[in-house]
Amino acid sequence: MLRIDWNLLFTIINLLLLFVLMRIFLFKPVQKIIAARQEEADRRFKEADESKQEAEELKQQYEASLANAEEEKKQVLLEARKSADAEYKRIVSAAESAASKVKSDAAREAENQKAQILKKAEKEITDMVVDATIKVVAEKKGAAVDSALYDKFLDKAGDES
Amino acid sequence: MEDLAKDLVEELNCETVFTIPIFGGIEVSESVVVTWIIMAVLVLVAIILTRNMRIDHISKRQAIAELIVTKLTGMVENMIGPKGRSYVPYLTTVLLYIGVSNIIGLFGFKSPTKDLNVTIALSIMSIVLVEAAGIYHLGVKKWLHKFVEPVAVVTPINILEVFTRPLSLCMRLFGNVLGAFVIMELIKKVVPLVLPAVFSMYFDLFDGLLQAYVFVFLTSLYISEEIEA
Amino acid sequence: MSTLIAIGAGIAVLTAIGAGIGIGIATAKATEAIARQPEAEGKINKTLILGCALAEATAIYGFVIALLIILILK
Repeated sequence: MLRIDWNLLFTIINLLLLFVLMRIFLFKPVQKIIAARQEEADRRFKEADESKQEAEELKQQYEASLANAEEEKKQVLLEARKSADAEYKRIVSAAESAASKVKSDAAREAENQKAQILKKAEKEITDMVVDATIKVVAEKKGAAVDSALYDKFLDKAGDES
Repeated sequence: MEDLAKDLVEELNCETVFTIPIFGGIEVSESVVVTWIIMAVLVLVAIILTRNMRIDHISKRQAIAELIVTKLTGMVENMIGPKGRSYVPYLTTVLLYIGVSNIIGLFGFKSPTKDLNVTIALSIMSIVLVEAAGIYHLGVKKWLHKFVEPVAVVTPINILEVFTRPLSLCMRLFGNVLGAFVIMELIKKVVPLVLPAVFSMYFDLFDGLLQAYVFVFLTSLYISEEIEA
Repeated sequence: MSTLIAIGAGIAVLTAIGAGIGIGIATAKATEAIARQPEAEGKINKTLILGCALAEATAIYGFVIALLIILILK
């Protein structure tokens, strides 16, 4: 127990040897593998980052194209609406013009008829006047006769209208 | 009582295993032989664990190896700080060696740390490492100047410390292992059943590993103290 | 002579008093610290065990010296 001799030196040599051996067989390989894994992990992270960036770009492209499609859709819709509007307006105006034509035709017709009626009436009045005149001339002479004639005429005209 | 004392002394003595026939015969003691066994076991385990190491899809063996190495080196690194990183492998080796030799008594071998030669060798290496680290990191002049800090009066104490530190390291380890051993022997003599197993958990396993930890902790404390500018 | 050796060894082992008191104080303080800050239990325990191991060394020195007295002066 209390013997101090050469074994001290042996122990020191043993320890140094153990240290070197452990370094070679335990610490070095494990540290190497951990460093390698770190590197690998770094590389993978980088790759993942890159692919993520690519995906992001692709996504942006898709989004842009999607936005374009939206725009196009809007355009098409707008155009369709516009053309529909125009059609509508055209139809409406056509209808309106047709209506107005019909109206004006009707008005003209009415005018014509009115004119014809007027003409007829005038003719009748003239006939009547001529008749009356002939009668008057045949019956009496003078102013008294004239007034009676007018009265008669007026009466007739009043009945007529 | 006489028997007990005789038994104890016999157990405590490190026998000579064989003698190298030079310089009038160098006696190689049991502790050195057991140290060789420990070295062989450690190296074998290391080789088996680190065989076929891969980066991914690691085997259980490799996981164990990595766990042991990272845990132990992390522990030592915590003690010594980032500045003394280059001393970590040596301290971890010492930790492994002392730990294994403290618990190897459970397997029927005589603990090498029960031999004063081994603990003296360990503490001499520790103090050499400490002073060498001081010289390497600070330079001779600053290292010498450390002895007169904080005031010149304490210089003798500082110089004395160079000797008391390894002495306390050595005696602490030796005494703990020896004390644990003696107490275990006494317990075995008094109650041969069950109780020794319970106490063996504390004295052999816990105390053995704790003393290994304390030894490495103090050495790394001294080193980090020394390399502080 | 052997009586004197035994007495000497016994006195040497008295160093254990210091270790006992020291470890007692350390444990008391550690208990207080854990009561005050239960979340720091792990750290406190670690420090306590380390401190106890260091304080125990005094008792161990006494024990070693007692053993040496017995074995050498026998």
